Parts: sequence; C-alpha cells; structure tokens
Amino acid sequence: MSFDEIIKLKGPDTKIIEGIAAAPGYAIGPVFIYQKEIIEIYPAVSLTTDYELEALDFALERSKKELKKVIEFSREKLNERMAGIFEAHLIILEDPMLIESIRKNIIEDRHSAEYSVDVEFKKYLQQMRKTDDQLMLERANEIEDIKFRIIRNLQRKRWESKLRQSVIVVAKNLTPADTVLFTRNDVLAYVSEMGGLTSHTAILARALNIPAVVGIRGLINQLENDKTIVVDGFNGLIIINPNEEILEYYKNKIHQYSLRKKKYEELSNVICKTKDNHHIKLMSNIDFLDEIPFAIASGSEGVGLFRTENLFFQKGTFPNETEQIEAYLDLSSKFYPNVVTIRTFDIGGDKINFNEQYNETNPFLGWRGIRLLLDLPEILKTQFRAILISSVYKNVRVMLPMVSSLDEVIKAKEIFNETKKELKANGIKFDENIKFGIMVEIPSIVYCLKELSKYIDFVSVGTNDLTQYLLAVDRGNEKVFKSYQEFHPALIRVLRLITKELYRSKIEVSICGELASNLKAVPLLLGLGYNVLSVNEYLLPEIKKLILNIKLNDCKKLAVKCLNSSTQSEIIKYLDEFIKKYKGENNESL
Amino acid sequence: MILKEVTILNRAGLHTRPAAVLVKLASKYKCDFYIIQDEIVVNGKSIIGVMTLCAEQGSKLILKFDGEDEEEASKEIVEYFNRGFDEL
Repeated sequence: MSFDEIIKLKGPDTKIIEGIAAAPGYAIGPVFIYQKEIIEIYPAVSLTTDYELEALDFALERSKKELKKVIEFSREKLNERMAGIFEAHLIILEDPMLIESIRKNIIEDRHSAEYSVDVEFKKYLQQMRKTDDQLMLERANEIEDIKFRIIRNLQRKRWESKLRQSVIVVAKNLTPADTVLFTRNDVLAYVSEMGGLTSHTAILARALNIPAVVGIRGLINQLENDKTIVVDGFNGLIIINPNEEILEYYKNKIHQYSLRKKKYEELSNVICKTKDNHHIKLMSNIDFLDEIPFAIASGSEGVGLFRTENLFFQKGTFPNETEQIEAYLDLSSKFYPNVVTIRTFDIGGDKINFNEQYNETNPFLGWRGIRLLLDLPEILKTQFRAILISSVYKNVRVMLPMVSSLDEVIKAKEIFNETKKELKANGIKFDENIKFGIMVEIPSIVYCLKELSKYIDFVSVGTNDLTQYLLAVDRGNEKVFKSYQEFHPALIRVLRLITKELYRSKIEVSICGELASNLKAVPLLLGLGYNVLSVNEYLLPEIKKLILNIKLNDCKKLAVKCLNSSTQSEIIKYLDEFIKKYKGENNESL
Repeated sequence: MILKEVTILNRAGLHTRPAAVLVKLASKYKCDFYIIQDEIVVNGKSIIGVMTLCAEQGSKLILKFDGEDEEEASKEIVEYFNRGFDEL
C-alpha cells in the first residue's frame, strides 16, 4: 500500500497527517482526547517544616502504591522485562540521594514540599535535557512524569483512567504508565503529539499489540472528541474526516490484516527454540516495503536481507539519497528494536541505463554486485550515506553483495569509513557501531573467511548464487537445469566449511538464500551450525512450527550423514526421512 | 579504594532497566560506589543520577568503590557490566 494510493481516495474534507509509525495495526474509531491536568506548583513557602515533611512521605507512599499497581498490571498483560521499566520508576521514588536532597530543601530552605520536589527534580532534568540524544530526552520525560506523580499526590488529586467506550486515545504526551493503565479499557489505538519510536510508550504499545502513531505536533487542536478518525500504525498516518472510500479501504485492510494475523498469531509470540532448547533466530527477506506488516505479524525477529535493488528497478535508475533514506528509515523504524540488514544494490551491468548499449557475453560472471559499485564510487557513497543516516535507531546493518576477494571488502570499507568521517564532520548523527557484513555467495570468498573476519561483523550466505557458482550452472537455463542440484554434496560441505571457519571468530552467520525457506532443508541447516535463518514471511510460521518440534542434536546427526553422502539423491533421502519422522502424515504437503 | 574501567557492551546501552538493576546491586553493599564518565561523577546508588549518564554501547566508564566490602561489591558489579547487563 502506498501513500499515493490513499491520497487518491480522499474526499475534499479529508485530512491526512503524517507522524511516526510507532506500533503496527489499523484502527477506525471515535477520538478521546486525554488531557492531563496542568499541575501548578504553589508558592515556595512552607506551612511548617513538619507538615511538609509529612506530606512528602504521604505523597511518596501513595505514588509507590500507584506504581506497584502499574507493575502488577504490566506483569499480567506484558512481561517481566516491560514491568522492569516501572520497577525503575519505583526505585526512583526510593532514591536515597534524591529524597535526602528534597528533605534538605524543605528543612533548610523552608520551601514547600511541592516546590522542593520540583526544584530537585529539575536539577537532574536540566542535566538530561542538555543533549539532543532522543533516548535521553525520552528518559527525561519519564522522570518528569514521576515528578508530576509526586506533586499530584501532594495536591491529593486522583488519576482517572476509566473510559466509557472503545476509543482512540489521543494525548499530548503519553507516559508509559498511562499507556499501560488505559489498556484496562478497550483502546483501539494510541496517538500522541510527542514521543518517538524509541520511547517506552511506543515499545509498550507494540508489546500490547495496539496500533500507535506518535510525533504529530499540534494534532489535538485539529480534533474533536467522539469524531471518527483512522489510525494507520503501519504508515504512521492519522486521517481526519475520512470519506466513505477511505473508510471502505481501511475496513478492508483491517479485515485482511486480521485474517493473516489470526493465522500467524498462535506462533508469532512463541520464541523459536528447538525441543532441546536452542534458540534459532528467524528473520525475513524483504523485497518491497509493503511486505513489512506481514513480516512483523509473522513473528519475524528482524530483516536478514533487504534487497535495495528493487528501489532501483521501481525507479528505473538509482534512487537519490532522500528517497533511499525514506525507504531505509521506514524499514528500520517499523522493525525497531529488531535488526534490519540493508544490502547495497546488487545489480548487473546489463540493467544500468547508459547511453550506449552495454552488453556482456557472460553477465553472471561480469560487471555486477560490489564490482560494479566499486567502479561507481559516487553511487556507493550515496548509498552508504543514506544507510548511515538511517541508522539512528541503532538497528541497521549494512551488507555487501557478490564479494569475491578481500580487496573488495577493504576498498568498500575504506569508502564506508570515509563516509562516516564526513557525516561526523558535518555533525550528522548515525550509529557509530553499525555492523558491516558481506554476502557469501561466490565460492572463492569461503576460503578467505579467516582473513576477512578482521574486517567484518557478520556474513550472510546466499545459497542460490553459491550453488550456481559452485556448480557452474545457470539455473535459468532449461537445458542445464537438471544439473542445478540444490542439495549437491559439495554445497553441503561448503556450507559446513563456512560455519567451521567462522566458529571461533564470533562473527554471526546467517543464511538468507532460498534453501533456508525450504522446509526440508531447515533441519540440515541447523545441523550444519546455522542458527539464524532469513526466510520468506509467508513461510516463517511453518518453519517455526517445524523447529519447535525438532531437536538440534538430531539435526547434527542428520548433518553428519549428509556430509558423508556422495550424491544428491542420498541426501534428499535422509532429509525426507527426517521430515517424515517429525511431521508424520503431513509429509505429502511438502 | 578500587578503580575499575568497564565498557558498555549491550546494544541499548545503560538504559532504565540495567540502571535499576545496578542500583539494586550496589545498595546491597556498604561501600560507596561512584560511576565516572568523562568529567561527570554520579553516585551509583542513586538511580536518578545513573540515569543522567549517557552511556551508549562502546562507552567506557570508571567505577570507584570505597569502603569495607569494596572487594565483593566491585566483583559483582563489574561482572554485571561484563555480561552486557544480561542483554547480549
């Protein structure tokens, strides 16, 4: 689905506003504007010191009680990790240095409790707000929320979190505690003027499976209570005064999404572990951005391969920096906090529109992948810049395609580091620890992995090209297609060599080729030492189901048998036997 | 007094949850515990102080322990840093 598509449908009064897509999902429903009371700090003078100290103790106790309720609720609705966020808030209420300084302020400066709380918190808040680091600013907002909680309790006011009906909650700033407590009601979506993707509110909304859009300044002034709006948590859109066409469009989306979700739901939150308790990470391969919602719903733990060349094909030429940043940020923000792997353009020379016709006799062995990019350093640099700029959430990795030698990696890395330096000099933020990796799909590089491990952080094995180059077979050529054996013994041995070479170097190895999406191959890959698979989204639930029912130990035995086999048919026989044993009658569907 | 240098290993850095755990660990001990980042010094038993640090992945911090049970405290706390706050 694209933005343009929605714009075409909109009526004359319809207003589409873009924000940050913080949690996936769609909602149509009435607006509930949640306005917190503005807390005024009363004059600084205290009544009597004893009275103020007592009031402080009372307010702290009451605030703790409230937070304990939130913790209990989030344990029930969420998990221990999320509850941990509120535990931290509770500890702040017990912070000995903080409480001591507030008391000191009351006693020595004869200030009221409210005033003292405000002054002492402000010291920390000012320190935290000195930076432009988004995470730090979010953290400051949370601490400020604790301050307001104490002051509200000093003023002996209560907090309302009961809603009359199913609503879309809209607020200037939603604190994590608000987010969790509102969930006791039927909340269709969360929308806030402030906040970013990394805010705890966004994280909580994702964990609670409630769509959320954040970061739309001035939104509340454009809304009216009880009026219907649309929230598109995939694209970060709010639609005011939606016309029939838009409503129809989104009703359809909601229906489709719920069907798919139902299918995925039972397994999407289950951790992918073998029966003998080994975690296998299942990521997805993404070709187009509109696959993202489905990949997320399928329970994918990130993107093992994003094929940027599709941006090239869609446009017919290289996308510019802005277009790339838009696409990469879309990807990285929606998958946050999971990792996304962006592979630089993997295109062959025959696909580039130069003025003169460019023809190669042997395009598969020709000007393509990283070779081509190194010859067009400006294009590579622009792409590196776009990837780096999109790495602000620290969940982006960069990967080079079609690497055949160490020199290529060193050269590309030089350009990469140069780009980093320039960005830094210009004060542009990016993830300084961004991971750099390569595709292993040309056999020569398998034999250079030891030396390469100094320059890279991860590798991803592309089995399609690896098979094609290992066997010297063009799989698109009907005449030789028979010779393209996806379970050729040599391939299995090379796959083992890769994990063996990298075993000691702490370099993450994943596999993103078609083989990983082949149910039959999955036990073998696990047995060969691959514990990260990047697969097609629609197959992910099936693959997970299989993994949940097999033992890594058995996979290892299977791998030994296959490594000792001399023909593909023998290997396939073992794989079939294995699957049969675990899937029983379902075998026919394979 | 014991001084130890540690590096932040986990991706998310010293965020809210590890800060809370850290303060809980430190509170078990009698000794003073300070965290030093560049020129900023915070009391490691004060969560709000720890939260003002901007300690991202890769940042180096100096931990200072001072008091009778400094040995045990430094051992447990340095280990928590080295485990990447159990988020690796």
